[in-house]
Amino acid sequence: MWCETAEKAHPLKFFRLNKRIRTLLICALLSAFFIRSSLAENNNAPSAASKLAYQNLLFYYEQGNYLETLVRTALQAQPATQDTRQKDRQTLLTRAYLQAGLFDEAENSLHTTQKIGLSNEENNELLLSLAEHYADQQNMTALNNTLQQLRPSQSVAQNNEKNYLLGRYFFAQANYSASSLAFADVTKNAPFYPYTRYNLAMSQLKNNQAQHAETTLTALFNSNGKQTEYARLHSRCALALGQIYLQTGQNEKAREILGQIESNGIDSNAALLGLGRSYQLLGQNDKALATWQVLSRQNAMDSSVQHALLWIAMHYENTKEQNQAVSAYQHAINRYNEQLQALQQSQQGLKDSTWLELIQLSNPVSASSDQPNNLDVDISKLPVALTSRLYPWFASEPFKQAFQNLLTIQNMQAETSRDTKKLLNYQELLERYPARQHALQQRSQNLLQRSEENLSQTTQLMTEVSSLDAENSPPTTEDEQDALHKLRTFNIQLQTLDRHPSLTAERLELQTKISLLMQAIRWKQFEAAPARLAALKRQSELLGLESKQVSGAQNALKNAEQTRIQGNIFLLTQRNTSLLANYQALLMQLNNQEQTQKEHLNALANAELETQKKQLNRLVIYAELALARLEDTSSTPKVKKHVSSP
Amino acid sequence: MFFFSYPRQIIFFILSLLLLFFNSLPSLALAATANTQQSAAPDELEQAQKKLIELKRELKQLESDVLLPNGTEVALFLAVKAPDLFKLDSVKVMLDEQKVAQHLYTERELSALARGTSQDLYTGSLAEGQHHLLLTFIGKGPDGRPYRKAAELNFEKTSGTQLIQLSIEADENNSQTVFVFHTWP
Repeated sequence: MWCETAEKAHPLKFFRLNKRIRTLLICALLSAFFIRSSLAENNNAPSAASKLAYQNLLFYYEQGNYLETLVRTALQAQPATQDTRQKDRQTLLTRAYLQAGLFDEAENSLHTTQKIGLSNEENNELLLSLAEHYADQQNMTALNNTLQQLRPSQSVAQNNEKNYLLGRYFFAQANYSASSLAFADVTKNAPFYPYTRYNLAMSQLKNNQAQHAETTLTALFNSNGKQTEYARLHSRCALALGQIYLQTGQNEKAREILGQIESNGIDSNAALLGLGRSYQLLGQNDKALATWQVLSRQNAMDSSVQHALLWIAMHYENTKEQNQAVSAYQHAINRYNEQLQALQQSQQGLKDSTWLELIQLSNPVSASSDQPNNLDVDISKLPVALTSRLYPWFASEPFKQAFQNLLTIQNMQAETSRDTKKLLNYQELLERYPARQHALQQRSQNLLQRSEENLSQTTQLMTEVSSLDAENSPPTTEDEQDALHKLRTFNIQLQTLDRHPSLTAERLELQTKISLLMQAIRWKQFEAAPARLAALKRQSELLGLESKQVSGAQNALKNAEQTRIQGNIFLLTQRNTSLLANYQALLMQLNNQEQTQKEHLNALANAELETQKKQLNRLVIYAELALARLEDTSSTPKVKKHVSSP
Repeated sequence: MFFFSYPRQIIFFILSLLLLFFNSLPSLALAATANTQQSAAPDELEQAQKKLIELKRELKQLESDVLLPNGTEVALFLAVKAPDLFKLDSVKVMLDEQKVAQHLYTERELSALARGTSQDLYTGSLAEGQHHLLLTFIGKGPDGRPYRKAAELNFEKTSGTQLIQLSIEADENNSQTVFVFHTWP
């Protein structure tokens, strides 16, 4: 207002001001502008530093190095008012906790992040990651609680993820109608999620909706998805469909679908078993027998092969081919016993061998930290007996989880050992600090003295050099040029006089003149000057280099003194010692945990072999009972005869 | 009545067959669902992880106090904004004509850098005054040909922590890389 009024009242007032005052005002304005720019620059510095630090956190997070991300995030924690990237950092912290498997911390961090203020999508993304973990852990209460916290969202992907997790929750609660609905919602929005479609079929099957399950599985089986997920599920779908068809008496369909499962696949043995069954139900006993016989020639380690051996014998028993039945049962028992013996050896091998080390040596996870999340285990170096027995178990979740934990422990052991070595080095460094500082001080004083000497020598040299430079320069003044000209003339005259020996006095006079003139021409006297000049310059350069070293050493001393002033070595040493003790305690704890985890893995492997043993024992008992029954049937008339004979 | 008219052995056989067949098939559990069996002592593992993070944080602070006196710290970062034009193999950092750092890149690191992150190449202590920084990169161009490139910076270290970022960027035509230094303060 004031400006406006003033301008209206005196439109040319500014130009009417005194020239000096005008200049002063312009200067003041310009100064204000520069001060403001410089202040803005200074204010940008913390913001830029904060951005740089955050981008550096992301560098570790994006590589999957969550431990380093967590350590660095904790170090970068600043008061909220100064932290321009607090929300980003806090969100990253929550993500890193989730990825590192520290779920309690992740939950705490999530609550802090929520207080800072997150959009619904950001909030849901973090909650869904946490919920997925609870679903994997089968912690259904926590899963449900987490899902309850989700906020309304427009994101289709997030809604799908939510429904998928809800489906898993309801399935685990045996609420199959609800799980069917949840999975159906996902497949409606995203029809290309093969696992969800498979899970929907399983829910429908459990919910006694065999027809719906059949439709879902048939559609999935006929999808031509190029994803590996489809390929993996293809034979699994066919097997499930075959099972449904056999249950519902659609034997022809069962034969057709089971016959489509490719040979040499994971499910090929189970498919052959079912195929034989479908032939049998269709009344094609010869084909059924032929199919099972093909299967029985496979390795009897496989459960389907074990069953095929029994079914062949049962088939002979059913068709009253007594001798073949007895021989087939006997054959089955022999094959089972071979397997039981091999299992026993495998269990012994488990006790004796270092199978975990063999896996880990060939495991890329332990070989390089470049792929920390890759859990593909290379079992090629294991003894064959163990590999073949545990082959499916290596792909199972309990093994993966236990092995992942072992790797985590071992990575932590490596980190702890590395850090302990560092601390020992620092301890040595701190112990040597006082002596080092004293030596540095002495060296600095010596260097300072030497530097002063250098300086005076250099000054002297420089004077000499400049004087030499001047003396060594070609004649420039008129006098010098005249003198040179005269000298040349005198020399010509002398040559002329030399041809006239009688003119001795004149020659002598001329020679004297030449001699005097040569003395007058100073530059001519310094024929050796260039060499001397070069030597002086070299010396000067050497002195300059030494001065640079002196300056470097003085800077080092300055740093050392700063450390002493700010540091107080005593406190640093105390911190170092305490940290070292904590690290050593942690290392011991980790060593114990590693041992426990190895024993746990061993127990899991042993339990897997025990399960296989139990199944084989069941089959042996079944076959032996059948054999006894057959022998009993065949011997009955003889007994009668025998009984009746007396 | 029809069922019971079959001989007992046949009924027994069929029932056994069905039971064995369904037992032999893979169980119809949910796909991609984890098994309930827990690994040993997950709580202890989590506690140990937390402890390690805490100790590592303390260690980093101690390192900083022992090796980087107040006001002498200089930190060098690298950002790659043109990953398609120059794929890094290695970098060598020379500070005042002395090699202070060297790094060979992994695929994961390159991928992380391509996502707009920033790598901490070197952190050290430096006296106030004029200094010379030289970074030599070896890598491959868009055509797969090997390249050696260098970037240098003369800078004055003042009191306080100094941050330097080298950004590898594309030129105006998006055909060549240029090196851009940013320093704070």
